[in-house]
Parts: sequence; structure tokens; C-alpha cells
Amino acid sequence: MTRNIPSPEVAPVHDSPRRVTRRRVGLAATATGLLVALAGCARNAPQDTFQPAGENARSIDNLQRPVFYIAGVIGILVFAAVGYIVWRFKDRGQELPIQGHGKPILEIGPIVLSAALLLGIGVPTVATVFKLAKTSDTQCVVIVTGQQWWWEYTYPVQPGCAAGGIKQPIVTSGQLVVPAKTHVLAEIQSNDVIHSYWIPKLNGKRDAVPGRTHTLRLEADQPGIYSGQCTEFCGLSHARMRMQVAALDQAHFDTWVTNQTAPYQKPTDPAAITGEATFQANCSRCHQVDGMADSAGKPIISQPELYVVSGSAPNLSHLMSRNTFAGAVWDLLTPACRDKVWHAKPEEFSELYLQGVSRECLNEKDLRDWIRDAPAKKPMYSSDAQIASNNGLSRGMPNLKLKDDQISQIIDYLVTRK
Amino acid sequence: MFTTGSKLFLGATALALVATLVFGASHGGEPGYLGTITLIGALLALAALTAINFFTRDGNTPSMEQDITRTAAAAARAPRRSVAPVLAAVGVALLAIGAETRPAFFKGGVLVLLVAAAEWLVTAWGERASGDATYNAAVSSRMLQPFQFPLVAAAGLGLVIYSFSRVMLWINKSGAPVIFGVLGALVLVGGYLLASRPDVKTSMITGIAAIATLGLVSAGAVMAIDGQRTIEKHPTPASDPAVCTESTKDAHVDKRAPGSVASISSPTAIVVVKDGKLAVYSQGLRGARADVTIIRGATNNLLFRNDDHVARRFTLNLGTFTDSSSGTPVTKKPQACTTLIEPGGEVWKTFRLTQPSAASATPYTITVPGISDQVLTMVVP
Ligand code: HEC
Ligand SMILES: [Cu+2]
Repeated sequence: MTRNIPSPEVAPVHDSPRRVTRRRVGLAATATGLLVALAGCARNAPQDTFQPAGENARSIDNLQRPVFYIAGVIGILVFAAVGYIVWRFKDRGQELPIQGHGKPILEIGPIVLSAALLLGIGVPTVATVFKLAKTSDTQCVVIVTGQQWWWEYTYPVQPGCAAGGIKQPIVTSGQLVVPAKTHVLAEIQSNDVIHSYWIPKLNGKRDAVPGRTHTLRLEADQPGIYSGQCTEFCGLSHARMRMQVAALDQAHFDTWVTNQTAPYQKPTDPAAITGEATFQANCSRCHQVDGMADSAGKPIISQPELYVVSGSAPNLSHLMSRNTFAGAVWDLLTPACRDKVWHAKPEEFSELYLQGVSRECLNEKDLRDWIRDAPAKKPMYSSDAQIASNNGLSRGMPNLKLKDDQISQIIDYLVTRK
Repeated sequence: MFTTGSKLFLGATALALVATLVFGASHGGEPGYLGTITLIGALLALAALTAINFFTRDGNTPSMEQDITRTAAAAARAPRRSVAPVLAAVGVALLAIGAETRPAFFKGGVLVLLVAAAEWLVTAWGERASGDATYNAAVSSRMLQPFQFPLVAAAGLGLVIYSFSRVMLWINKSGAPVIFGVLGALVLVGGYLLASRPDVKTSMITGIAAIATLGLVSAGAVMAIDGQRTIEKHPTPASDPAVCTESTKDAHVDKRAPGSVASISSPTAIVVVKDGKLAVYSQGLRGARADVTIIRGATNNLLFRNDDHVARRFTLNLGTFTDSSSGTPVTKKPQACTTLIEPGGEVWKTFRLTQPSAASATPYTITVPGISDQVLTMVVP
């Protein structure tokens, strides 16, 4: 038995099924093309490489734009030519044209032209590569260490960065605070697997490879927040490993340095004092708070190397001076407070950023959820069974099974850590 | 009554039964248990195959016409010569030797036996594939040669490479490059001469290659028995206080040893001693400094360079810690150091510090034994 195929006589003449399919395919193609084109026009695109906000990203942009336009025009010409030739010379049963035997001018011409084009792209590319690799004009050094799944920043002792230099190292995480209009050199390392540091508006990517130090120039024209994310797949929560650069004007950056290196402030509020003890009992084995001492006056030193695969956990001495936490994925600020800072004019940004997180602006919900059960918020290979199968080491922060009142005490204490 | 195939499987089943009984009775514990289970598995599988084979009468001979296995044209020829039995004998011998001496021989024996079995099975099948000898030869080589050629080539190449390496390891370090440079040139010239004379006989080329191979393999055998040249060892006194404070001790100094480490291109900092002065250079920080910030918990790479006129070593003084967990306080002053570095030499050191400076009673420092007034500080946040 054969199938029932509508015969040409039965099918409507003006809308053959073939024509309908063709029209549908055309529609789908146009829609896809439009979507792709529109996707490039997002207005709120904090990680848009086409909007450089610093000298280094601009060098890349200046290099890629002409190449992009020239290649685009050539691409269109080639496709048009292919289309024309396919249509013009399609087999209509015509006779084969006479077959010639090569035309030197047609062979050598395109070779010379391509070589010239490649040279035209190659020379500026190499020049830009060298420009971006320069380290001799550095004004401020920050050591950037990647680990699953957050970035740590250490400001080594140095004469640069701030007005009086940096006399005592600073350790922070998630948000890299730098002075604007300054040649910052990030020295990128890794404590576990390969990660990659990328702030699209400030420069290209640079891999963080264990055992190596790779340098990346960063410079922001203006104070503000510049977002990025880890761009080398690094395990379970790779997608939740983000970072921001917060550029401040020089005066405010100097204040930031003073704040970060200030001696430990013992909490005064009774709730926070209880919280300090709860923190010491539950968190200090992993998290360092500089200057914190036990009742005998002995400094409390964290030992993350005994509990975490990467051998490190964020330094919480000044947690509330940052806006985000846990791989810069969650906000420490409520949405309203955050928008006020992040969308501030460049002249006002530094001042607002330095205000840090106040009790009123604290996004307590996410912080609370994190302390209650971190792996539920961010998959981290840190369940009891996984830790047991991994020589007692976790990747990321485990669930500490604290009670609600303990969490409240800890938050009361953490809020005082500016 | 028994077809050819079922005889083979019956024999294999009987062998598996014996092996299971012998092994099961002689081996205890978990390995014995696992081995016995495995052998029982093999026994059951072989028994099932025997049964199937028996039931289907090899799948090709009508059960009533048994004579055909002897009278058919395909069966008329006598078996040809084959290396398989010899190979199998070698395999069995290796098994026996391996069981008494080194496991490597035993594993080799298993491998040789497997190869022999495959070869034997395919040739035996091929000889009776049809009554036509030429066709039979073609069909069995089509089955076997795709495996034979690579195997024989790999074994031959392995032998040549092994002999080569023995020769190179026997000749002294400076002679080897010269000799093999000359040898390489000879091969090139020989190749050129042969290529330029297309009418040379194949047998002559084969002869030359055979003599060369024989020479190489026998030289390799002789030199392997004689043993390789002595290769110097360069011990690194990692954390021996007796050595770390010494400015002269160290039997061996290998200036270039760490120069081959690729990661040398990205040190955390470079520490230099020059004219009795110590300095550290960090990337991005201009000029010589007296301190270097070391990331806690991370892997740090320091490059130590001796630009002095005498051999020097660098010593890392890694703080002072008091451990009172056992009741009586014990004070520890861990140290680590480089080897003695010749003038102009560099040494690479990779280390990790888990305790911050704040945890230590004294700062972390870098010193050079013999230069008492120079100290570099390592700051660990
Ligand atoms: C076993 C070690 C460990 C313990 C104990 C621990 N943490 Fe963590 N914590 C981590 C690690 C690792 C991270 C980084 C996880 C990430 O961002 O992916 C982290 C991240 C954090 C962050 C985010 C910090 C930032 O700057 O991004 C906060 C806040 C935090 N922990 C609070 C606490 C509190 C409060 C406690 C005690 C109740 C605690 N942690 C106990 C290992 C630990
Ligand atoms: Cu990552």
C-alpha cells in the first residue's frame, strides 16, 4: 500500500506545501538573525567587551574593531559572491564553458592581497601584545589568587598604590579595590586548579595556573564597579565564581587602605560580643580575622590548610567593607542600597563605596542562608560524606549546622567588621 | 562423536575446572576468594560454550555426516608449518620462569600465550577454510597481518630503541653526542647513496640493515650487561639545620640543575646576593627591596641567584613557634635552605607557608650563612 500523497491537482495551486515550508524556513532564519543581532544591543551589559573603560581594554578594542569591520565586509562580499555564483551558474542543462588552465594574476593577486591583509592585522596585534605585557610602568601591585570558587586579593608591602605606600599587607576577597587612573599590576596565581581572571571592561583574560605567576595590567579611567567572572571551567561552582573591581579615586583609596590596616576593633555592643565568641568557636578555624585574640591575649590564627582543599578561606577582618560575598555572587547590600552605590556618578561613587554595609543596608537574608547552609546555596563538594572521602578536606564552606540564634549572634558580630 | 570444536571447549572447561580446584585449595583470604570466583566464572562460561557447541555440532557439520571433517576437500591437506606451537612453548616457559622469579616474566608469558593462541586458532581455521590452498593462505593472512605487522614492528622497534638507549647510557656523557652525531651523519650519507642508485639489489639493502641491527642489538646487550655509566646525584639539603647554617659544606654543586624547570619564568621574586649584600626583586615593584610579601597557604616560587665571588647558600628562617600541647613547651625554629650555589649560579625553591607572620615569635627571614649583617624579611599576611 502506498501513502496518501496529495496530488498536484488536489493541492491549492497558489500555496504549494513546498512554498509554505520555504516561507517558514525563511521566517525562522530572519527571526534568528534578528535575535542574534539584538542580543548584541543589550543596554545593561556590565561585561561588554565593546565598552572598554580603561587604557588596556581600549588597546584591545582599537585592535579588534578595524579587524572586525574589515573581516565583516569581506565576509559579506564572499557570501554574496558565493550566492551569486551558485545562482548564476546553476546547472540548467547549459553547455560546459571552455576549461582554461589557470591565470597567474588570479592566483598571485589574492595571495599577495591576503598576505598584505594578514600583515596589516599582524603588526598591530604584536605591538598590542607587547604593550599589554609591559610591567615596568606599574604603580600598584596586587596578588590575585584563584581557588574554588572565589578570588583572594593580597596587597603586598610596597611603596606604591596609596599615598604613603602599603606598609602592612592587606588581604581581601571578591571585590578588588584599586585606585582609578593608576597602572595596577595583578599577579595572578592559583591555589588549586586553573582559573581565569577576566574583567572585560578593563582588559582581556589571564589564566591563573597553580605554581605560576601571570601578570595582568588593570586600569580604570573612572571610579566605579567593573564586573567579571572566572572564565576557565574550574569545577562544580565555576558559574558562581565572579568578581568585581571597585575603582576609587586616589584620596578615597588612601582612606580605604587606612581602614583595612587599622588595628582590630573589639566589639562593644553586647550582642556583638557574644557573636565574637560564637565566631571564634565555629568560624575561626578557617576564617582569619586579623588582630583577634583569645582570652589570654594570644592571636587567633586560622588553619584553613587543615580543612579546605585549596588551603585558604576568605579573610573576614573587613567583610562589611565589601558589597558582595562568596565568590562575589551574592549581595551584602539590599537591592536599593546597592543600586545607589553601583549606579552612582563616578564623582560620587568612591564616597558611597567606602560607606560599606550598614545594618540598615545589610542583605541579611542571603548572608543568613549562607551561614546556615552554605552548600545549599552554592554547590561546593563539602557534604560530610564528601569531606570524609577527601581526607577531611572540603572544597568550599561546609554546612556547620548552627542554630538560628547562633547565626544571629554571628551576624551581629560580622556587621561590626568594616 | 565429539566434533573438533567441542573437543577444544571440553578441554578448556576441564582445564578451568582443574585450575579452579587447585587455586581455590591453595589460596586463602580475599585474593583467593576473588581469584576463585573469577575462575568459577570462567569455568561456567566455558561449560556453557561447550554445551552450545556440542548442541549445534560446531554449527556447520550435519551430525550424521561426521566423516566429512576428514574426507572433505578442505580437510585433505596436511597442516602447514606454523610458529604458533613454538611461540606457545615460549609462553609456557615464561609463565614457569615468572612464577618463580619476576612477575614481569609471568605477565609477558600470558601475553605471548595469548598471541600464540590467536595465531594458532586463525591459521588452523584458515587451513581448512576451503580446498584451495592459495585462497586459504590469502584469507588467513588477511585476518592476521593487520595485527602481525604492527606487533612485529613494535617489538622490533622496541628492541632497537632499547639497545640504542643502553649504548647511549654506557658511553660517557660528553662522548655520546659526538658518536651519535657521526652515526646520524653516516645514516644520512648512506641513505643518500642508496637513493641515488635505484638499481641496488634489495637483498643487499636488507643485508646491510640486518648487519647494522645485529651490531646495534649485540652492542646494546653487551653494554646492558656491563651497566650504565655512573650518573651523579645532587642532593638538596632541604631543611637540615646542620647544613642550612653552613657556608661551605655540600659535596655537589650543579649550577644548571634547576635551569631546566620551565616554571622558572615566573618566580614570586628573585633573591640576589652580590658583593656581600642581599636584595630581593619582585615583579612590578621597582628596584631592590629588603622585604617580600609571601602569600600564606599558596605555593611560592623564589629564585635565588648568587652574584658573589664565592659559593653561597640561602637560608630561610621560618619563624619561631612554641608548642605547649604536650605540657612542656617545645620551641621550634624551622629552617629551609638552598644548595651551595656557585658564583653566577641560580637555584629555584618552591615552598608553602601556612602560618602568618603574626603567629610567629620572630619574623620570617632570608639570610646567607657567612654574611651576618644582611637580613631580608618575608611578610606573610
Ligand atoms: C571548613 C572551613 C570553613 C568554616 C569552618 C567556615 N567557613 Fe566560611 N567560608 C569557607 C570557604 C572555603 C569560603 C569560600 C567559599 C566560596 O566563596 O566559594 C567561605 C566563605 C565565607 C563567607 C564569604 C566571604 C567572602 O568574602 O566572600 C562568609 C561571610 C563566611 N564564609 C562566613 C562564615 C562563618 C560566619 C562561619 C562560622 C559560622 C564560617 N564561615 C565557617 C570556609 C569555612
Ligand atoms: Cu574558577
